[in-house]
Parts: sequence; structure tokens; C-alpha cells
Amino acid sequence: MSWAAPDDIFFSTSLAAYLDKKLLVLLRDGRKLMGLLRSFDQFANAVIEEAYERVIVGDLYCDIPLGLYIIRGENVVLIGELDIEKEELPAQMVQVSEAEIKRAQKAEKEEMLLKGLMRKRMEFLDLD
Amino acid sequence: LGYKLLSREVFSLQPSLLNLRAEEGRNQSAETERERERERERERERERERETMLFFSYFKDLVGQEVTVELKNDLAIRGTLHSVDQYLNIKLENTRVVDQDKYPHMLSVRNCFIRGSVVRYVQLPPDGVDVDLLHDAARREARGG
Repeated sequence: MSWAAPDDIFFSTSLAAYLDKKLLVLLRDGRKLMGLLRSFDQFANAVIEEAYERVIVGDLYCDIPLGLYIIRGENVVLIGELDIEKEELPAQMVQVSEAEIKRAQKAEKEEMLLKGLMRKRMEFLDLD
Repeated sequence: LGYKLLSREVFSLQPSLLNLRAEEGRNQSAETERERERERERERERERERETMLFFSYFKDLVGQEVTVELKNDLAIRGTLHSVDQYLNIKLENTRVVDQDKYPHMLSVRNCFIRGSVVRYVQLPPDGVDVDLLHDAARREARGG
């Protein structure tokens, strides 16, 4: 990456402002990682410390600890700074154990598959 | 007589001179060929840079405006454009997610960095754009800068 010229400094989007902050990282596969940003580079590769994955199924959620992570930049969708004064999640959400969230995930996946199958079966009906 | 001798010498020199010049010529043409290749590479680099500069410059002028960024994963985020870079990565401030209920994890996110490669659309206010200026800039780019 070329070095920023003096008047490029203002416009240069750098993750430096997010260093040592607790962040939400959205990945391309839909995963949501959270943790402290320790390092980054021009490809948005990132080192996240105390990382955990927040799995959300409906109103249930679970934080699965992961430890120290290096994320390859190409998988990063978004890096969000969490406002500590705001609630991270809506009030109705319930924290559950890892086993329970995995069960909920499986149930959701099966439901999606079923929906997809039903839709396919109905496709011959030209309902539109 | 001296003059005649001189001319003979000059004539005898000439063939070797010619050889030298031919070799020099060959070297020169090799040199210039390489130089020309380098020039062409540089031109291409500049072209590529100029291609990426147009929207970079355009977004730089848009800093401070309210925009909605729609991502390839269908997430749409509204916010104030804080900064942009050569990869068209975007930093938004004061963000709100368009369909908040569908994305509960984004509730407390107020500022975010969006990787340029995942952006599908950047929705702008209709009066926030000087279309004619952009049009002219694009025409200039197309012409070759």
C-alpha cells in the first residue's frame, strides 16, 4: 500500500482507531466474532485477542470462547466498534449453553431445508 | 596533399565508424526497446491508478454525507461517511442497521469499518451528488486522462 500523502491522512481509512477496542467482526460465512483488536494490516488481516463467537438462533445466543485469533482479511465483511454504553443485544434475548445453541442451530438448519424443499415442490404451481 | 591523405584516412575510418554506429544503433534500439517497454508499463500503472482514483476522489468529496451501504450479504447500514481509502474500504459513523430486528448483534455498533470488497451498493442522497461533475470526470477518464 502506498504511503498516505499529507492530505490523504484525513481520508485514509485505518483501523488504528480501533486498536485495543472490543469489536464485532462479521465474516463472509456469517459468523460473528468478538474480541479485542490487537493488530491489523493493509489487507484488513486482524489479530483478535480474547475472541469469542457469538452464535445467535432466534432469541437464543451463546458466546463460545476461541482465544487468540488471526483473521485473514479477505473473509472480513465488517468490523464494528461496540458502544459500551449501549446494550449489545436486545433485551428479549436469552443466553444459553453451547450444547443448547448447537441443538437450536441444527433445528434451524433442518427447518430451512424443509422450507426449501416445500418451496421446490410448490414451484410447479404458477402462483404469481 | 595533406588534405588528400586526410580524406583517405577518413574514408578508411568510416567503415569501422559505421560498424560502431551500427552496434551502437543496435544497442540503442535495444535500450530504447527496453525503455519503451518500461514506459508502457508505467503508462499502464498510471492508467490503473487513474482508474481507481476516480471513485476514490469521488468518495473523498462525499465525506460527511449520510449514505446507506448495502453489502453483498444483504446487510444494509446507514451512517455518515467518515472516510474512504484506495481500496474503497468505507468507515461509517453513527450507524444504524436498516432492518435492525434481523441483525440483533449489530444493536450496539455505532461506528464501523466496511471492507471495500464486500460492498454491493452505496446509496447516496440525490442532492448530495454533482452529477455533471462526475459525468465530466468520467468522460475525461474514458478519453485517457
